[in-house]
Amino acid sequence: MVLDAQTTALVQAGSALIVGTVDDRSRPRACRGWGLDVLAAAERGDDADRGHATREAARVCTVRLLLDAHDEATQANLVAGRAVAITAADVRTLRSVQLKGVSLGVTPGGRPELERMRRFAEAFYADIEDTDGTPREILERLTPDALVVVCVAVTEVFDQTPGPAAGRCLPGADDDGRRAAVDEP
Amino acid sequence: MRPTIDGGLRLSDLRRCFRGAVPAVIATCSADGTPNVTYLSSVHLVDDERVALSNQYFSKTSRNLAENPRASVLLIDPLTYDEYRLDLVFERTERRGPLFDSLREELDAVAALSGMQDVFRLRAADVYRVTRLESVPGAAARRGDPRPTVVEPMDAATAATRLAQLAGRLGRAADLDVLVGATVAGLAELLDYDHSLLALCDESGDRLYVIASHGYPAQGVGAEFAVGEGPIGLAAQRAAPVRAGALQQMSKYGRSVRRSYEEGGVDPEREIPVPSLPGGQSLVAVPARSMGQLVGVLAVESTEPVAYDEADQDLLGVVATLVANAVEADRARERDADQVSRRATPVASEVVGAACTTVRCFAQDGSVFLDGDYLIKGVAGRILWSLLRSHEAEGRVEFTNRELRLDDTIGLP
Repeated sequence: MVLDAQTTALVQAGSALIVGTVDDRSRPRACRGWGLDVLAAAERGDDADRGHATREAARVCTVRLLLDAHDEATQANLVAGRAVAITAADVRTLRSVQLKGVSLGVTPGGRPELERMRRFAEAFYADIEDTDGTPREILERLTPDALVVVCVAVTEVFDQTPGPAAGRCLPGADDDGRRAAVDEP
Repeated sequence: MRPTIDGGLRLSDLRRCFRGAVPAVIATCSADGTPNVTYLSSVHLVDDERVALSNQYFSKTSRNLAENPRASVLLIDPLTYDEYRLDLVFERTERRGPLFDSLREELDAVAALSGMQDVFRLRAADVYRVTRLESVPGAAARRGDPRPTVVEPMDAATAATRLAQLAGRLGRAADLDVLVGATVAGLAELLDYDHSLLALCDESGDRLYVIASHGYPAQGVGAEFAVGEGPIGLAAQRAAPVRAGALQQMSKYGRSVRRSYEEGGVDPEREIPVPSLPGGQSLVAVPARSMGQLVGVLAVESTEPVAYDEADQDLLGVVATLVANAVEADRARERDADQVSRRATPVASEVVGAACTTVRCFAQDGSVFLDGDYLIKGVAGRILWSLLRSHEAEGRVEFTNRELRLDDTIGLP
């Protein structure tokens, strides 16, 4: 499974990131994400000979997501092997995609993660400020001060843009480069 | 059963969160444990234990809830950006009744903004019981930073006093020009509505034209729009108030859905521009009725999100009714005066002077003749005739577009 360049750009930019997890009693939980990076093959230790890292528009679909470290319930829902959903929405156009996959585990974040979050928040808040007129100092009240990292192996990607097509499975490719079948989620 | 709450919060304390200014978030889970997370345009407060969500599409969220009736929702206060999480359990679906109508009106306002009245359709109002309500503090709240100051609305007693003062001003207005000017000026000076406009229905009842405005970069008097077009036209069409607290967000959502339909080969109606206040976020449009008839619409706008509530709607409704009754009284007086004038004056009007010209106007087609020579006919002829009659009766040489608009004898299209 790989993401195309357009989807990769959307999820890595300052898009609004929201996250859905589930506890062991099948209770869903919503929270916000504070930055996401799509990891290349080399970054996740894949065999470079398979050629994924050389494909310019594609990335092997493991993503690295930042979450508020104070949200312990969400972290408990993200032990390795648990399902997770991440939706990224362009604040200006509301174009949205939803990634679904499996948690590879949660690790503490540090200074580099806080720096990554600041870049994310800068772009995210700038878009809101421009389009909705909300003052920056009010937006920044949302910002967390400590982060954890969750790596997610993405298995499916859906169009989540508001409208009748929301929920449409976006074509991707598996690790051998084949196009995945388009299917209703 | 009351929801488990965090820090003494009640759902009604979150009232601003329910006006759609910041999209809400909903997470659900399928029977096999796969989560789904998406945005909601708004969440509707039902009572202190329940909320309702609009169901427009047979989405993954709906399918998940059919399998597992639990949901988690994030809400943001648009003025403070305080965030809250609600745990929900699906309770029932409503397809008619006051709650359904209320959600449909909200959706219709979005549709009116984006020109997609025939596309947006509410399927159902899904009601959920809130089992838990908690605050989701960011770092600023954890540090104890002061919350942003929120301007409180005018208290009811002051508003009643100011309304009485405005009613007094309107009662003293000697003619329609003064009345409509006093209305929009008084709304700003007495009731803090800095941007307002008053639109009247034309003779056909199909269109509205702006007769007075206050606080807009361009005055806009004379601007027209169709009944049913945009939120102001919607208020006229329904003869019911329309209130929106997130015009920019609604417009953005409408454009996004429009694009989605267009990509699917459906061509919705043309997009309706947001009302004319640049950066406008909030709007209330109330119908102005007299004797059961729609006379026009009074609207106020603000650049602040969720600036208006039910109290504003009620207050403006009173002002609109006062104005409507005054306009109707003025029109009745004009009609009476016109009938007297028609009985008392010949078809031709003579002006005695050094260069006397006989002017004849034929009511049938508005044609005007000067000394027996045809000059003009139709609406233009009737306008000329109206001006000449006013000049003859009052000696006036200056006239306004507004009074011509209100002259029933001209028959403007």
